[in-house]
Amino acid sequence: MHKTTIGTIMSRYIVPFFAGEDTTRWETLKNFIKNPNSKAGLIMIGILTFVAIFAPLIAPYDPYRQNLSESLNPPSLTHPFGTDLYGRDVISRVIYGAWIAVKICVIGIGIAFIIGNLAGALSGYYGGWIDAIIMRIVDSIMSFPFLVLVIAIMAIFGPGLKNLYFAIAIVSWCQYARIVRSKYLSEKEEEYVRAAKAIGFSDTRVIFGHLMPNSIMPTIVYASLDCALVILLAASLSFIGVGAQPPTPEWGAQIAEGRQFLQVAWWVATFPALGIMYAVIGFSLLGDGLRDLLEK
Amino acid sequence: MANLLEIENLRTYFEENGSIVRAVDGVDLSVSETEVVGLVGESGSGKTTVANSLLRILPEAGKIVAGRMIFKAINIRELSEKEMQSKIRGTEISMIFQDPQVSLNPLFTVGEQITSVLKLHQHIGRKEARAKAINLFRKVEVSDPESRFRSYPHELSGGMIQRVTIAMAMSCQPSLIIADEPTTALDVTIQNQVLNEFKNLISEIGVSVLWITHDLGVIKRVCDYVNVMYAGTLMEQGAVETVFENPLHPYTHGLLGSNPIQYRPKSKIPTVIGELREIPLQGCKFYPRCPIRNEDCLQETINLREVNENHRIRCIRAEDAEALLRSRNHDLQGAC
Amino acid sequence: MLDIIDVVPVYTAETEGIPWNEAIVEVNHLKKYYTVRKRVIDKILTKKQKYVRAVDDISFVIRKGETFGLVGESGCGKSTLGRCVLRLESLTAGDVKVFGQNIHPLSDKKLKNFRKQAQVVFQNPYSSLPPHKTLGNMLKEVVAYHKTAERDMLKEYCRDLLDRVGLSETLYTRRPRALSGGQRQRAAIARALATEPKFVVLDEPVTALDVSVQAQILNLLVELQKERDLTYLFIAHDLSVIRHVSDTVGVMYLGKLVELAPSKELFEKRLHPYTKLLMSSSPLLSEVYEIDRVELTGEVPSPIDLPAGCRFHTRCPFASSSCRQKEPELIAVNNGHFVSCFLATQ
Repeated sequence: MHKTTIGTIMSRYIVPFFAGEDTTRWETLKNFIKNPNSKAGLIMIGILTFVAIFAPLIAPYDPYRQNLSESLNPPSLTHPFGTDLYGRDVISRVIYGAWIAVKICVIGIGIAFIIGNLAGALSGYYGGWIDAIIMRIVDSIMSFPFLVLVIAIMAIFGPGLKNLYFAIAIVSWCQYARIVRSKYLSEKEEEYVRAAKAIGFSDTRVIFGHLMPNSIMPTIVYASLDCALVILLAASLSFIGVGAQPPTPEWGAQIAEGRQFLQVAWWVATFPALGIMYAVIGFSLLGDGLRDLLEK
Repeated sequence: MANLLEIENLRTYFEENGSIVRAVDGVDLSVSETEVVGLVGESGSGKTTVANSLLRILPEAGKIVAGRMIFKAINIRELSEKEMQSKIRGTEISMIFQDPQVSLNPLFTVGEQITSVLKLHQHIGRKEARAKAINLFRKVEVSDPESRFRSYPHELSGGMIQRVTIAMAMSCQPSLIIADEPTTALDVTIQNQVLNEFKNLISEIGVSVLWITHDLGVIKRVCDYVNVMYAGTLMEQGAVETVFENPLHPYTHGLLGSNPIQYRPKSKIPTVIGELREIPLQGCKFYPRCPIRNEDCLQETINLREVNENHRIRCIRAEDAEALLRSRNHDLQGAC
Repeated sequence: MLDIIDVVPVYTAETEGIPWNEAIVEVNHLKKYYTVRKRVIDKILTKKQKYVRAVDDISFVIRKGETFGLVGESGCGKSTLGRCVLRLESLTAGDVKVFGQNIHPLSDKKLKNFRKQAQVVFQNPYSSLPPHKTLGNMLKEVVAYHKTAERDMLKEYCRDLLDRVGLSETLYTRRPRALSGGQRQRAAIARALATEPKFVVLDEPVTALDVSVQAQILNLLVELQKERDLTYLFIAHDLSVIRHVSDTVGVMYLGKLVELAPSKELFEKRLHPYTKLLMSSSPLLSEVYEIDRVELTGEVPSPIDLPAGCRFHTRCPFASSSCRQKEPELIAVNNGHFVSCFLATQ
């Protein structure tokens, strides 16, 4: 059975796709890291993830702790990013915002990725009525503008972060399904698939053991770029009040709060915005780097 | 009489993943008027790269790093891209490619494609070009030329497309045609047909041909002179009869011996062991696979030397006849 | 209609020692048609459904330990036939019996066992190996699935297998991308052997390889057959190769067997005009067997719009009026030699 350490998953599914002349695992990882895009992207997202995971240890203050006497203080030694309207430390809120951003990516995109890959794989491999049903569902969902649909779902289920993950997953999986399906349609005609069937392997084994590792890369690239989009989406939704609710330190929500006094206390809205920018650039670079390798 | 084409010490290197691949590593080759010269080698020998270097249509990663290519007394390596385009490619030197399905543009009829070549290089009008083209089609034995003229490449069979490609290559009366495996991708019976037709055409028109292939049988039928290429260098060269009758280089010997027809069914075919993998940094490139090698073979550089009239080899041990005999019984496990 | 018993060639002295009635593979009136998509206008005009008759009523037998050479040019249906014999394609009509069992209606469990016994090596070494698996993992997966070796002996078994096909141990951890064409084809052979089959279909196994490597692989295949008592269905378009490996040869043209005979007999007698044409297209073969040049006329017909009568008559220099009207049957001429040609069977 498959071991579940990240290393094995990486080496079984991701790294093999990069296999170059010498296919030892270290060599392929080294190639990936050499690419300037992926190098920068990895470092940026690495820092982001680190900050996110260790937020409780890194953040100097409790992001929810209010102190009205320190309201709207400019950046200083005690509060490097200043304080907001309620005297909450901005840097701590930005750090916890990173944690929320990472959660949105992992949960929202993660679920979409899994469902999308599964649906696309079955659709592409079997064709027929399975394909017809799945693709009609995909078409229906994708005929709505992405943002409109997410807002509608939030409106139905109510605002809040938990529903946000759910909404993102429901809407995003379709694109993954399409990508994987088209990859499966072309890959399954390859001779090694025919050979696998000739060996006598069951459909399940062929789909997940042989086709999936060769078809999964495009979705991984897409997922990385999608993370950038989703962070922006979540920020936008929180900004208009539909996403994360106060006092959650989500970046978009923070921008919304800080917008009203942008002229007197620029730091409240600016630093969360910089956080968003950082994350989006990081994921975009990572995605570019991955795509360069895909094309090799 | 000066040669039509004289390639001297051609070296073309490719840059791949930080390392350098010496696709062509010191090739001396000549083609004279009305001569059909063969360049034979297996995959990875660099023979197609020689052709691409000649017409200077190498991919991004490839570069000619040394050598001269003297065509009609001009070093075409030094010509500008524009001069190559207007004066050499298609007019003086034309090329026929291997895969019939991809060498023509699928969006245009074959008539349009050949007339565009004619109009470009011969500066003639549409009607005249059309007449010339149909005439050419007839010459290369394209059946029903008028309706073929209006056909798209996907409507034609492989053999027909190759005939059209040959017609295109000959349309502007080049002095030299480079044929890169022109019949390899065709079915055996069609291959035979097209080969015969092309051969007759060549002798009728009197054009020189550099024929590149991996098939020794084709070389024997079509060529006057043969160059045997391995790992970027020429191992043996000479008149076809001489080389085929008396192959002195162990590689040529091994290649000629690889055809199963010469042996009893199900017996062991004595062939060259191994594959083109590591090439020694100095000495003979064939060393890892050679049945008659010794330490002397790894000395500095081994040059082509004349062994008979018009017969040269790059080997210092070939005359050791006993060694050659032993090589026939050499252990022939194809281990890699 | 030819009864299956009639198409069993008689063994010559060279192949004695093999009981002649031990048929491992029996192909009976096999037909595989592909339907051609109708254009809308055709549907409106209710034109008849057109088919590509890839395999059109073929019968033959392969006996234990022998190599059946199936030769023909591209488009003749030989690869399709190979796939039908292994149940990698469904049949339009007829049946295939392997080891005495009719393989097309097999249940899943029996199918797995069949796959263990009957394996395949494909033509293209560059696409028939799973690109994401190392050779070791690829072999281990097959061996474990079919339980060819014990759990604790897996690695050793796979290493030995690689060694037997001429691949060094270091390639155990390499992926196909790092290998040359010849090495990949050896790996494909190792994979086929990993189930310890009795019958192997080789679909143009050496076509995509260099001449020297071709000879190496042919040597390997012949050795393996002797060592492991394998039965081969060897599909190729190169007659020199077919001659080297086959005991019995079947010549295919546009979906039909035009000639079927023991190898030596076929090359020496070559009764069908198409066989003559194939042989004369190879200068070396024509030299060895002293064949005159056959003048070709006409074009290859489209497999969808087949000509009436004998399929070869459009290109046959000896075609007569009866050839253009009736289709000849595969008839025994002598000693297990079968031809489908009016001229040859007069």
